[in-house]
Amino acid sequence: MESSSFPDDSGGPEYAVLRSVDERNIDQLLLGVDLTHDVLPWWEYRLELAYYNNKEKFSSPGVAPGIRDPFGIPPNSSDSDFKRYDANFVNTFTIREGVVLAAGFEAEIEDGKSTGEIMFDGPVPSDFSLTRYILSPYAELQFSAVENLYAVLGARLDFPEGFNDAYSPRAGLTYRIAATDTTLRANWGRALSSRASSRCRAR
Amino acid sequence: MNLYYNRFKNLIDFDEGPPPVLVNRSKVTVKGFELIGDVNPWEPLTVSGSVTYADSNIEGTDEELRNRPKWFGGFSVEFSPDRSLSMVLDAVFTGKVNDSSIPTGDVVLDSYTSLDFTATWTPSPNVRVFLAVENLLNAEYEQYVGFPAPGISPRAGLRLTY
Repeated sequence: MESSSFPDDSGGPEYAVLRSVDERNIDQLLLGVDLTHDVLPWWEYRLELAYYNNKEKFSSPGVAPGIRDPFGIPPNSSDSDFKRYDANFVNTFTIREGVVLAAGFEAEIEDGKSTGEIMFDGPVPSDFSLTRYILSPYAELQFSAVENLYAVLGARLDFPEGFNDAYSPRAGLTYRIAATDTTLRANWGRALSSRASSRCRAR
Repeated sequence: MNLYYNRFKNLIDFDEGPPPVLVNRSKVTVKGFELIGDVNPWEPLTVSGSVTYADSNIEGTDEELRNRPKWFGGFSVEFSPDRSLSMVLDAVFTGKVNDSSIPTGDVVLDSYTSLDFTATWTPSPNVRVFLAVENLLNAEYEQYVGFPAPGISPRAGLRLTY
């Protein structure tokens, strides 16, 4: 995919002083496979495997100095390659009617590198690379204590390479008032989001 | 109706500088509510609407997050005379937002409403044809300072599933 646009923060076609545009060339590949198996009437497991690759060549003319910034943004370019591997294995146990326990483990590896340069008086390298993993066991219990009242309790542990471990609990209550077909819900949770994308990691 | 209160630690945000850089905001709270509803006044007709209020605050500073409207809402009318045909008229309202760019400095972008139309025809389970027109009223607005939204944008497509 190729695209061009005025740089971020440039003021766009309406206000940009430099009339050259950013050029991007992006190749993306996304592969995934899910396998679900009913082992026994009360036991099901699911395996999800995913692969994501983003290759991007980028060049920018920069942004001219302006009201907000007397320096502007110098011309810059980069060539980056990012890969993410994700495996998630979860078992679901129906302990009895209305009581379901899910327990699983997720492993994710992110591997990225970027070579580039920023043009000040001369080219200044802006290379970087990053490889890290996150290992995450988790469990969740859904149950109905009394008629029309449903509860969810969950917990997840994240062990991200290079960062502190994170504990992500969550709890939820749902109550259905049958007479008026009204559902009341209350949820509380804490989650870690450590990747570039904004997906929260709570299950 | 949903009421929510979110608190973020180390939220990644753009600091305009100079120099402009990405920063970790030590603590950000976002609180607000959502109202969502729909009615079926007539079997082929569904009318739905939603409104969202989100008040975000970076604790300990006077700075504000960019491009987060406090008010956001939508109103939709769907007409499906039979299972194979659906026509949807969508109005989306976005309230004022703070934005910034190097040549303009901090600005507040006006609120706007855009109207979109989508028609979907499914003559068989494997074939789906759609026609969509975005910004039907050719509204002039900017989601980001200096980047005018496209005018009337028609598109059409065919999806085959086997």
